[in-house]
Amino acid sequence: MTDLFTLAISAILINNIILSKFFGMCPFLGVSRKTSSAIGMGAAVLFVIVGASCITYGLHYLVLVPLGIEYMQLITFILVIASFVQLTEIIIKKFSPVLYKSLGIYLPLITTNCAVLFVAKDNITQGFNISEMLTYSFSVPLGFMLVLYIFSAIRERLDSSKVPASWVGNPIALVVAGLMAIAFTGFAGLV
Amino acid sequence: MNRKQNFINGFIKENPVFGLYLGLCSALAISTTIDNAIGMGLCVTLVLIFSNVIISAMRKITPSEIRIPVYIVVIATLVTCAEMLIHAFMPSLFTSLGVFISLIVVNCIILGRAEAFASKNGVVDAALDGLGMGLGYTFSLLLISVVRELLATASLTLSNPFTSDIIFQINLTSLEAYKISLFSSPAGAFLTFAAFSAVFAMIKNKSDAKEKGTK
Amino acid sequence: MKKIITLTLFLAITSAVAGGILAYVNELTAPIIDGMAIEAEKENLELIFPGADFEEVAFEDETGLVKGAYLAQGQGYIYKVEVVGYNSSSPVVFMIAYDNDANNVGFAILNQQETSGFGSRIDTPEFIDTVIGTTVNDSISTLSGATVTTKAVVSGINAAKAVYAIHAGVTVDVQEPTEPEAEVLTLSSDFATDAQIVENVDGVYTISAKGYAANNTVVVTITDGIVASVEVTEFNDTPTIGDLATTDEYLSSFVGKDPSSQVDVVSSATLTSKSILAAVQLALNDANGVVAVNLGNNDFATNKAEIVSSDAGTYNVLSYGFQANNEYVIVIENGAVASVVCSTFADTVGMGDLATTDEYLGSMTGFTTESSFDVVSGATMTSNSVLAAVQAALNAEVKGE
Repeated sequence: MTDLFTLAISAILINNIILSKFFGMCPFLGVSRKTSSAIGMGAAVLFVIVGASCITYGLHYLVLVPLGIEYMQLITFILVIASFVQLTEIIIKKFSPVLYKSLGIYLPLITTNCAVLFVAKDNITQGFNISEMLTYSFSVPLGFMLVLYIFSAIRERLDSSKVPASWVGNPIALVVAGLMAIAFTGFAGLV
Repeated sequence: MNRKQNFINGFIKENPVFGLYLGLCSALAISTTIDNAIGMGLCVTLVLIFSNVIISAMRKITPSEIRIPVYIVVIATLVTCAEMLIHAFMPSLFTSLGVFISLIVVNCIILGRAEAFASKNGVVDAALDGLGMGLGYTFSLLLISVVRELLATASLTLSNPFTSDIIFQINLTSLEAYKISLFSSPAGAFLTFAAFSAVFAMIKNKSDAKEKGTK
Repeated sequence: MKKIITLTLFLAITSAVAGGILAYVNELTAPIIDGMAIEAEKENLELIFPGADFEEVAFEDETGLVKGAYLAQGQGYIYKVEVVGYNSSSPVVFMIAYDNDANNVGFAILNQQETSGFGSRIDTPEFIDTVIGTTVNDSISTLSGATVTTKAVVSGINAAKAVYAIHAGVTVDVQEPTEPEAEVLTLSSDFATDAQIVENVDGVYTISAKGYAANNTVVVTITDGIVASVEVTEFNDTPTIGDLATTDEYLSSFVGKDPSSQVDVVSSATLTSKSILAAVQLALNDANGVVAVNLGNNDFATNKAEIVSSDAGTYNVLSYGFQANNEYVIVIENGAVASVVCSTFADTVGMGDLATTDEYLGSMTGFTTESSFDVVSGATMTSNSVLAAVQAALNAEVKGE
């Protein structure tokens, strides 16, 4: 098994969840207009992914496998994620109403964020042990946060430039994403 | 809105991928070949139709407070069934779509339509809405993958998912020297998608302007 | 309170119905899916247990080398293993099977792209015979000159043994691969490689010797008939593998040695070591006036080579081999062999003809009377007949000028 550091670097840079795997696109295009909300979103996603991964990992190996009901994986995982997001929503509302307001509808939408379900499933598919699972679950949302932050910084600049009418908003954002994806492929030989 | 209008909306004005930006993860990751696009598109369409029908049928008895978890259970069940059936009967499609079949469950389109339409309308309407949105989604996937496959491999191949036999194949050998493999990579997906979004935005702006102009 | 109960109940019932549907579909599809995995592998499984009833079984393997495990009903377990040998771009894939008494009953290489003539020897009886029939506790030795490949394969076999131990409920003594029995080498041994003196300045010999992939340049200084120093000035073999034989430690071990001294070969850098040894040997022999045996001075009297006819560089030569005269057509150009063809073969089919293969005859292209030569083991007398014929042709060409 790859050592933990290599695993982390590969999850953050080389196989970045947004730029090379396409997971987490909705918040990527929706929330990334301001750097402050990008960080907040990233942090929320990090909390959900780490928490949900731990629970689903335990659920799979302690309940589903012994009972031989692996086909229930999808239902149980997504229900766990939905509940965990609900929990996160309650916590954020209590501790930072400002963040809650700025995230708006995107907070409950973390449930349908492909990234969360993907990481939960990938921990199982790749056969990680606990420390690898924790490293991976932590690194993937870090990569997400990194790209989200860079992207929001670029978008702040884009908003004040002259963009052709049909390209305003998402289309030009996607072009930026494409260019970032090309840039990130440069990390390929890193480890 | 009458049924026909609703159905057509799914293709252009409210195209789930280019207009509403839903279901992007799969759209971008899958659309490298038209085989994948059609396979995924049809899968999503079927799941969408069935989930819309079931949720619509259950709408009168589902308590509002737990409607989201209930929708999730329904959709997850349908997706798991789809995954098992595809694995057993269409193995080549299963290998190429991989984890994305499971990820249909978090495809915003399905949950979105369930919440916005199926929970408030009759079964037949819900089914048609599912069909329209699903076909619109398939249509968008096809558009992206035709461009990507042509540019990256200078050929188009359509095969039978059950037997892996090739149904038709177009080889543009004259363009083979100009193929750009960037388009089979994620960056190419973003750029193709950006271009199509701009085109759709342009079409939408024109038709909106026309509507405003006639008012 | 009632509300919460209704809600929970509703959700629970929905989930239960969902679970039921899934269980049903699972029943339908699981056998098909499992069957597919076995179908894919069936051809390979049948190599070992033809016609048996196979079943895929779960397994635990921390090394990650074992890729599949199958049970052949009543016969034993088969494991599919993938290891990276010398060629890092293509793994060696093999099947290994143990019966219920912990004996190895099958070993088949499914795919290997190792170096032809070296690592590829794992797919020959030379290696396979050392695996089949052993018990699970026996150790397997590596092949000299193919150490990296065989070590990898043995580690894969050990991984399979560990999985077998769990499946069969036995304890296994996993053995590290053993080194093959070391031949005692001295500086007079035959190192089976070509070495040529490029330059000799007052006892400092610059020698080009063939290692693994290409020629290495070795500078040997001989003082008073013994080795004073050895240096590798040009290294053309595999980095990180062959250069284990170019370390200061190894090269300085030659200082003070003479032709009778015992020498070592660096394991897993066998061929590079041998190129250095051949260079040192050549330098020593030259300095001590020992003339190496070459095509010109070797005595082939028993072969009674006789030129039957000749025409402008092409010679028809009769030469006695094992039991009769073989006839050869030899073309000499510019004082060296251009081609050797055996026109009439009268020795033992299946044995002597090992010395008349295109490969062996072709290896003589470019030979002069100074060249060193090889004899094909198991076909010694026929080989000598070829060499005698070539010697005769070369000598005749020289005399004719």
